[in-house]
Amino acid sequence: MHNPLRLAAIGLSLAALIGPAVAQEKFPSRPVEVIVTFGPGGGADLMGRQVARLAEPILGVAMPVTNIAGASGNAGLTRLLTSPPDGHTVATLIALSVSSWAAGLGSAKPDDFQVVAMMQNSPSMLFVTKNSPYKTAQEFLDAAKQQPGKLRVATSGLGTQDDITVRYLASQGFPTKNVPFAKPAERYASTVGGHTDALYEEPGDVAQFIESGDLRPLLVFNDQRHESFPDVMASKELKLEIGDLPNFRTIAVPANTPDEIVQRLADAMNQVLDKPEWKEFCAATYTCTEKMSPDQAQRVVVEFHDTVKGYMERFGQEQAAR
Amino acid sequence: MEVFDLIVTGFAGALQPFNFMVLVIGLLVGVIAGALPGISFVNAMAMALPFTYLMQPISAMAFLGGIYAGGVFGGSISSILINIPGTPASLPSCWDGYPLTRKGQSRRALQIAIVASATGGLFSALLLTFAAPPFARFALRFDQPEFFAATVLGLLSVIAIAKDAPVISMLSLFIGMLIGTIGVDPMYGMPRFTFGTDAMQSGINFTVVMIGLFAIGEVVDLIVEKPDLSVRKGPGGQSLSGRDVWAIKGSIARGTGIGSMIGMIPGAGATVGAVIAYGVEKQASGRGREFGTGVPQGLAAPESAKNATTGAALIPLLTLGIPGSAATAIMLAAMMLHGVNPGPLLFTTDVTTVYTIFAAMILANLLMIVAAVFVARGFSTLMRTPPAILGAFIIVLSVIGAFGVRNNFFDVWVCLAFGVLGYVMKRTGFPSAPMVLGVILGPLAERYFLTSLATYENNYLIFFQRPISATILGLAGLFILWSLWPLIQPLLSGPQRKSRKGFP
Amino acid sequence: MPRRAKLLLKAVPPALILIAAFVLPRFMLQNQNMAAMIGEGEAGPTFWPNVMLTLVAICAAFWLVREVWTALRAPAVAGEAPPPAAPYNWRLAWAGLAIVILYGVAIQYLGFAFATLLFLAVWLILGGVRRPLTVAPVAVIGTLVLLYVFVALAQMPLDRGRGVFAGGTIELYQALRIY
Repeated sequence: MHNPLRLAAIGLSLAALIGPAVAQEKFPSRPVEVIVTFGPGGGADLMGRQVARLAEPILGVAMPVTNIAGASGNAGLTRLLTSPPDGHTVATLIALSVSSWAAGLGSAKPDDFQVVAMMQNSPSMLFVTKNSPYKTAQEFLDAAKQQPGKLRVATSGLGTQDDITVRYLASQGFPTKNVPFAKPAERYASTVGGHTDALYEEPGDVAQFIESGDLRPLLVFNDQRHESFPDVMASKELKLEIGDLPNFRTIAVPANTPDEIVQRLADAMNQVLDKPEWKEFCAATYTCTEKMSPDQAQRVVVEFHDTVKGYMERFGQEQAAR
Repeated sequence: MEVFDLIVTGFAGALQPFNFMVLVIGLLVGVIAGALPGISFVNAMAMALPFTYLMQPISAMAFLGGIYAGGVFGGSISSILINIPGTPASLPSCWDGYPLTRKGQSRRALQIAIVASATGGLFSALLLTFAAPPFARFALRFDQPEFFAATVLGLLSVIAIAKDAPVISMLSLFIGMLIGTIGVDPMYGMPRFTFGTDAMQSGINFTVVMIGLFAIGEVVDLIVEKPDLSVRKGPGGQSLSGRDVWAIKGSIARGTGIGSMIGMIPGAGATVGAVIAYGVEKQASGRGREFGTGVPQGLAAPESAKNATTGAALIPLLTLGIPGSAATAIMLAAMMLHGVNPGPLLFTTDVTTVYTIFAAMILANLLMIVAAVFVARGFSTLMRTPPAILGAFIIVLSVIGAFGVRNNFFDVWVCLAFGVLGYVMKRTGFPSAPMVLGVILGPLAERYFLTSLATYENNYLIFFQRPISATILGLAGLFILWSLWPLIQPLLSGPQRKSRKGFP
Repeated sequence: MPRRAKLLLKAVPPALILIAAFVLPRFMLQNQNMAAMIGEGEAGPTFWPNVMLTLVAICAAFWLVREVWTALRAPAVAGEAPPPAAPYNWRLAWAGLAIVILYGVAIQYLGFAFATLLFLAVWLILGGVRRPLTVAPVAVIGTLVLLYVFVALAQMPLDRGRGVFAGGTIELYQALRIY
């Protein structure tokens, strides 16, 4: 007899037949939903909202922003993957979510997504409060060596690229204590208020504290110095090879989205990147990046995932050995 | 006198026709959204965000500030009229507000709520205007142990509020706190109690739990029992007189003080302020035994406290760029989208903007009285619709609201599941308010506890070694002794009382 | 049922909670490999839930003991008759809850627009509003207002349903000028 499941299955297969046919007619034919995988007010949210605001006139349809926060962004990504792959749903995919997969969260993997465009990219930096005794990166690292585990570094959590960096520093003889704060606001307040000794963060998220002088950059975790902070040492100058954990923010769609639609979205995103408003925005958040094709951007995400996974296995084994 | 020049400039800015208009619209949107069961004002602020793209930064802040101030009040309208809190912070307003409605005094209850909320909000906005920078510096001295201590104070208030059956109330609280641990833990990023599902990793949101527990059970009773919630002419008159207000001045003052202090603590916010204020008021008003039967003091204190958190919550946002709640995070997003970076520099680079926001918050709380009166009257009229129609829309709004918290359909299932549970709890008399407060406060307490340990070398005594947190915990201890005194006293002086009882 | 057994029945909820408090720790963590990342002497992700489970267990045990105690001390025959409960239409209440759950299911299959229309009508009929001239306009106008406020104005991504209903919802939205 007709049970509801059978009916649903028939409905679904009908939808699968109709879906692509409709999509090929004209893209976009209705509002493009932008899923922001974090709550309002954060870096990913600002990026998603700027993208929506600037891309609306280019694509000619409304782009409502939907915040789906939870599980390091995986809740929103799950929603993206269950939406029809017709380009009418896009989502923010950022480094933090990708590293969470390597740590065992969620059930997504890089192959489930097709990255449309690399929107923002920034190395992470180490900051101290304005009246911290440590004036240079070398002084901080020396102090870490002299009092192992005494210096407290505020990070976003364990199993993130923040944690990997702290563990890497420890493996190079500079052990510090990782103090995770789930809420960014509490993380910044803790370092600005002098309750933790240093903060691991990308510069754009603490721009107001850098400008006011409440936070002082000590070190940039990259192979070369940051052009906005020419006086701040790069980690490679101190023989620290930890420049492979960038904080990128991309726009992604499900992997089985038709190529023409991906290309159409990628063109729109590239036009956004060229807009003066975007250039102003990315300069203010220290996140300007070169334009990439969808395939290049996809490769960055896949490589990042492999890198994080490699570090995780390495530190997991070290921990187990002890 | 420089400050007064700035305030005058600020008012000039806030009173510009367009800014004033969006402020009024924001207030109305906030009060209505808050009053609709299911839809919280945080939802409304998130939905309003795209509209602010087109505005000047000052207008955007006036708009969002209006929704915020109006919404924090609006939640109480449905608390008072139908016993369904419109926002979590309005939960304590049910306890003495709804009994007033059952007595036919809903108009009086709403008036008490409006006066108390507006007073609290206004004081808080003035505090923001005149004392933001020093308070912000003071707030920075608070670290994780202090936040933990403040949360413990909130949790103890829940126990102090429990009228009868303290064991079952505590059980409800702890079950709530246990529910709060579901999902990815805040520190180690590990999924807990997810039973292998991805959806559970996002955790259980407290607003969703609240909507389920209160709205759905209440609505089912609405079609079965069909209670009479209309306004009746009763003894004591309907309208609030000046003398009535004078009688609750102490409650409003205490609520305002508590709310202003709690509001500055990131994370805690309006709900914690209102709960603590209710707990303190129950002891301080001298009418504690009658609380829960429709005591004006029991309504005024949490009302003034929750609105007193609104201005105070803006202090860390504007002076430090640190949002303490979902609502202030949305305001931060709006400012940053316009290229205005809140933080210490804002006071030197953009001082006019700052003072216009201050002026807008002051105006919002003054205008709120007008807006609230109109909306409250409208909602009182709505109460005359047949309960079935009222209930049908409350359920649809609950589902929309539960979905809208995170735009996640899993939350709708959570809401419906808690709806069934809430109905059973309501019929069996198992208290549901402590459970909701546990879901709200539990994750905060855990996060502050674990981060305190991580910051201070896993020293479990740190909470008693830091002066501020030790003081708060000491106060919490005194508070619990004070509220449990009626239980303790007979133990200490049992024989005497017995002998005295012997006399007729 | 004898009165004592009836009273003992009241001890079932605390007993169930107590059992749950002992069983749940087994389901606390999903993947154990991450536990390797935790340092020594740290509280870890299980500390807080364990404290809560312990507190739940203590409270439930208290409750259980009290219920059993009162049941056992109660006289075998009822001393006083329980106060007559007001007639309460349980069937109506449970039907209401069932319809609410079905509404949740329906949203995913029929989409928000059609499910809400249906739900409003069914709920009104269940709640005693049976005049077709009331039910139809309330359901239709109510749904339209909700659609304009939450889908058009607030741009919430409410479900559009599956299969034919997805297409139907999109056509409806286009006809209503929401899309």
